[in-house]
Amino acid sequence: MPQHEAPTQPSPRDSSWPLAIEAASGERVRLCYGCGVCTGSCPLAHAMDILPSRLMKAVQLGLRERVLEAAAPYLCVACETCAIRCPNGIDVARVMDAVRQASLARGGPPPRAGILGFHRWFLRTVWMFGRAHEGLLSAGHSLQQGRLRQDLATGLALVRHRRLALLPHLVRGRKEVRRLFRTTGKGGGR
Amino acid sequence: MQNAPARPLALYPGCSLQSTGSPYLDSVRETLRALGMQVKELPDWNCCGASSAHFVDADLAVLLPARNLAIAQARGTDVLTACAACHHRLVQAEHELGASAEAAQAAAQAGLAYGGGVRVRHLLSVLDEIDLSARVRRSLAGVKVACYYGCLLVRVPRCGGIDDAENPRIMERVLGSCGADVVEWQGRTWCCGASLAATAPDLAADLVGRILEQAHRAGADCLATACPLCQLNLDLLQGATSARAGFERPLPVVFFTQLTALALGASPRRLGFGRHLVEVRPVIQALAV
Repeated sequence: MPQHEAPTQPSPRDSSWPLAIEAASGERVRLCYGCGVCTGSCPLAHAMDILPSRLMKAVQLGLRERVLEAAAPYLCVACETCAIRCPNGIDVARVMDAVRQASLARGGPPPRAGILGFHRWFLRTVWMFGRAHEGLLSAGHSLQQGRLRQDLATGLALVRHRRLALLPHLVRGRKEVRRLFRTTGKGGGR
Repeated sequence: MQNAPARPLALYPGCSLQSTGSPYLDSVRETLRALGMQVKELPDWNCCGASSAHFVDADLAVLLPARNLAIAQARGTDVLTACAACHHRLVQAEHELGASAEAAQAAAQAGLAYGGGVRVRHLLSVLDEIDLSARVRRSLAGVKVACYYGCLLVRVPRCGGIDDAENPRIMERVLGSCGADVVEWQGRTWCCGASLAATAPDLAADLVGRILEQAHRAGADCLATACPLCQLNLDLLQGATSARAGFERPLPVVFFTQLTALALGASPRRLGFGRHLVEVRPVIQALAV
């Protein structure tokens, strides 16, 4: 079960952080009045260590360290149910994006390294070929997680059903695609 | 519905449709062919970044789709999508490039010339404007279909999805006009957790199980989807979840275009039914005489 105990020490606050997250997400976090519709709508809330509505409150309060350590933004699948239901029009999934990206920018071990690793493998194949290569990203991720043996059966089932393209589809404008990565400082799909 | 003069459509298949979603691409092409629609592929398109670019970088999530929009604009075409995730990303990028000066600046800095105005249309919206019932050569009557939208098709904040976010009807209309018996059920817009399927399979299996349970309860013969990620996730994880929920039989998951192509007279051999993990043929056999 997720833990929601109150911290025993008062958490340090960074009063400028809510504005930084607003700028990064493009969302007006301050409008949140804590109704909890996002939490009630979230298909992954039960697996999160901070519920979406509480995370919003924590951002409002500038509890930066607490929020940046949370696994919740790594479990958010951006299904946008919160976004279309929020009575204040806040796209909570975008706030999750901004918080996760802030935690990546800070460095250190990510709360859910396996999930991050999968997305990095995805982008690595886009960097390489211009298009995602599902076989390579699955194999790369699986190998990195030490799960190759467990995942092999799934891979073989897909190959047997002719569902995995083995050869990559190369985009002629790969250099243009790599320039997109470089513009964002994410060269090499890292 | 359309105010601007319609430009020709160029198909943006997306990466999944060239791999795990290949039955989708085959059946999209067969559907278009049966309708006599000449739609070429967008030249040299790249990955839209789907569920991974926004995970690590907000700019990258706009720039990857933006290159495709720039190609479409240079060619004087609009974009036709089939994949729900690609559709979502292309629509959002198009919106942001117009609405955010920072996004437009990042695009210019990355060497992209995009001046706006490319329309991104999903195949369901295009088919919804055609009187399919007049073109049906093999009615889908007798097949009970649970239309499954998932997240991304209907939930594009600030831009609007292809239909109402809470109660979409567009797939029911399209398949209904092909004669299918569409069932009413809960779970049509529930998330299947596909992006966690590789990294948190227990969580994804749980979400898949809930969706399948609802479709079973409604008496569906199959689920129809417009998303290659949903299809793969629901197809692949059924082994894990059907046992858990104690279903008697697995539920085939088809692409809605496999059904439209069949109804419009395409040969079932060209629609990739043999590539499904959960056997589809019993459902299709009754029709494909």
